[in-house]
Amino acid sequence: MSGKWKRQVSFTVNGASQSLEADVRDTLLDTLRDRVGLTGPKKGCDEGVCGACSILLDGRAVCSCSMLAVEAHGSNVVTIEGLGKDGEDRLQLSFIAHDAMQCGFCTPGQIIAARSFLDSPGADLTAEGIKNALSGNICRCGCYANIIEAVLAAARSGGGEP
Amino acid sequence: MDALERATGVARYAADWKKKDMLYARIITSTVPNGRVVEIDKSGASGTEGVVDVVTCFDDRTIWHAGEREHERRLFTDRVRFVGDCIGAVAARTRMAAQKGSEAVRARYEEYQATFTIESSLREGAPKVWDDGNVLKTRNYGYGDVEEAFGACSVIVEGEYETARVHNSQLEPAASLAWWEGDRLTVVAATQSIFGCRNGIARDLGIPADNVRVITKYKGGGFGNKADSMNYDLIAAILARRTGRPVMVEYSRSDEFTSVHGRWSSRQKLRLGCDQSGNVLALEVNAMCDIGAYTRRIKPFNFVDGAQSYYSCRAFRGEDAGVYTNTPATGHMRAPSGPQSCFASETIMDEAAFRLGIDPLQFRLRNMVRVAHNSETLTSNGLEECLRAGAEAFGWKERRNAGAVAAETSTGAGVAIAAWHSRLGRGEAAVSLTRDGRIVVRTGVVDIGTGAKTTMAVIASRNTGMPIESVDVEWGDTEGSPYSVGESGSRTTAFTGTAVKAASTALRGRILEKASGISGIAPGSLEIRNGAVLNAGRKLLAVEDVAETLESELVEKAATEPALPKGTERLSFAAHFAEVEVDSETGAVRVLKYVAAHDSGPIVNSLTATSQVHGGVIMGMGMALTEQLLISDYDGSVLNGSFMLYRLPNIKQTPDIQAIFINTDDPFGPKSLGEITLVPVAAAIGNAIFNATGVRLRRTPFTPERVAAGIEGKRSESLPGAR
Ligand code: FES
Ligand code: FES
Repeated sequence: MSGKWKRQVSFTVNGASQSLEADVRDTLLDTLRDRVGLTGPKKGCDEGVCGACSILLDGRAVCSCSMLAVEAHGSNVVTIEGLGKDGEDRLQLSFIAHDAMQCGFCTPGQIIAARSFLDSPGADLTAEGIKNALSGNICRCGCYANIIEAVLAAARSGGGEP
Repeated sequence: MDALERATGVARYAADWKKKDMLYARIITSTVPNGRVVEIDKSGASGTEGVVDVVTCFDDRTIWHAGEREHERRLFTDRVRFVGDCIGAVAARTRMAAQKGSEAVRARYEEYQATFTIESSLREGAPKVWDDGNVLKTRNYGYGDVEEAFGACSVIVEGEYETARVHNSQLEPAASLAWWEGDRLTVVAATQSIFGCRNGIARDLGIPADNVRVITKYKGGGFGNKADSMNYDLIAAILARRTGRPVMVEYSRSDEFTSVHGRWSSRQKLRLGCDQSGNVLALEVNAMCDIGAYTRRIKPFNFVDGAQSYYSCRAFRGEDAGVYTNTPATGHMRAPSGPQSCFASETIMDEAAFRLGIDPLQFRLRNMVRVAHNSETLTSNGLEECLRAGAEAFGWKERRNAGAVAAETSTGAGVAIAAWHSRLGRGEAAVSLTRDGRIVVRTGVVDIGTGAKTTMAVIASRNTGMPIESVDVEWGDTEGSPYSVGESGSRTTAFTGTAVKAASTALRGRILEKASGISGIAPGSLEIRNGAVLNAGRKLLAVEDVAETLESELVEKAATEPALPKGTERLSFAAHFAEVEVDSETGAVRVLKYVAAHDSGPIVNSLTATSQVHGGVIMGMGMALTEQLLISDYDGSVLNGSFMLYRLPNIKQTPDIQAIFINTDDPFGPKSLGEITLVPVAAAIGNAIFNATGVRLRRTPFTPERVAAGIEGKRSESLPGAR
């Protein structure tokens, strides 16, 4: 009876191919967290506003709570866990160095959004540009000033290439 | 510390945990604002595929916060007091089934008349939220003869001020996972105080505290709303006991807005009197706060609090009361009563300065507190330096608008000061040297993002003489930690830090004794610096060498509970300066520059302290400009319970913020910081808007509509023949 809700979904997650039977009503966020076991993307609102669930979908930051797992079929998904192993990623290190996090709940989303921004061709690498790019990521702890500094510093040191 | 875990996504918050056979739970909530549940039909839920258990107010009579008169309440209540009051819960194999199940439960109510505002709650014959009345009167307080002091005043200013209800809205929604092994309960909670949580759960379930283990490794903010055991911790535990399986309760964002408390709103009448040269002689505050159907007000906080502690005046009288309404609960949020109070008093001070033609900065320098509450000595007081250093860094003179009226936009500058409690209290810590030469600090506090963990490591490093890289901080689990009060009221550094310092200092002594045993040199002639034992500046051996000789870990424990001498008050201080730009067409306000000068005693870690200031200022901007929990006047429900509609500050609004610390020497060490950072923000911004536009705003938030209406009003006032 529940078979009509199920679909096979195949995608690449952090470089490894995954194939699983997903409920067509499940969001990509829940699927990543509950089925793939990647809890780096956070559920802050589940309504596409806070950005805590951000992941890279074919290189672009999207809110994984606002899409269904089945929509990711055939895509390349990168979560915070996939960004550089053991914190080698320069952007992650820059966030740490600039104390750009307090509770850390928004941090995975902030870093993913910043990664997407730094990787986009012609990104406006100024404070203003960063503010625009990260305006969909809420930080209730109010770390914004340091987040801007962290992304600027990563941008300066070579676009934050890992 | 732990930053790497947070930045790489491996940090595990409560909702990130998983247990085999875990069930998901959803709460069932009241759909009427005031009444009694007569009957609940569970059949729809029980028949839903995947649902394992349904519990209602008729099955379980657990009391949450049992024995605490002012806020004990039934976990699942049949006497409902607001739309959203919890009447039951459903546990199911999937999240979706739990959701469907909770929606399929049908409750029948006997409905009563309800009240949603302060006025209607106070009206004669008003519907009753509580049988013993709708007013939770707290106190009349003050000193001096107010009427006599007013009699001596040549300028008296009066005003009515309102602050809106706002919500903590930490980014991590409530989550709690519980499971039983025999009669032993484990709860993975998102709490600020693992021991407070453990003791609360044990008390309410009627089991020994030793049978409860609470684990909190990471927590996505709190700002005062997870200070103790929360109802969802109990719900998880009860469902887990009933089903024999682990149960995870997760709140949605809209559950958060309705079911987890925010900050109470306030309505305050103030009267302020000065003599001709601008000395404040008398102040009177009358406050009513809408505290919703329940309040998690924990003593000794009051509903409004403050003004009398940062000004010197001859006489002061205050009266405040909490008024119950059939609306969601309120409770602690970062400096529970501070910003409401500061907004009103710092606005009226500004009005008085304007009336007297005195610069607002000078007015504050003249009147700021010297002796607390007219009689008590302050342990330290860096307020004057906050004002002077802040004004200097801000460029007060240059940024003040001299009265030029710009066509489209105008800018202006405002100042506000604040004080906040910096109490002393009990702290416990164990600090040890392990056999592989590392220092381990164990405390019961939880790092909710205030950098407390790093701060503890810094304190241990300084006082043992070991490099910070060799220090580990272990906490977040009631098993293995000494007792601690947990992180609330900005007191981690002050309370637990004192204990860490004492234990570290003692440990250093023990290490030196051991080193003396090895080297034959008297301990008094040895010191530890950067992990090395030195004699007259020369390295004798490494602390690691000492550690190697140990048979087991070298542990020093300390419990500290310093007390303030009688007649003494201990306060943290702040002076905030804001520059705003106001669009006179749309009323939109932009904060351009912000300087926050703080006296929180000696600052242990300026990096994380600066972050605390940034966070408080941003949160204060939310309260000042955009945040307001809207309550329906039809049924008292929350109208804007989503991040789409309840607007939190975002990165685009971030002004240029500068934090300044006056490292006042306080005999008891560091003073509180986290809470006061938010207290003066709304007042400083409101005062800056007045300087920019001449429009005095007495209600938060300063939405574009309100600002534009004010500007429009000004314009028509100045039109020829308008009056
Ligand atoms: S959880 Fe996806 S945007 Fe908030
Ligand atoms: S660090 Fe807490 S929400 Fe951003």
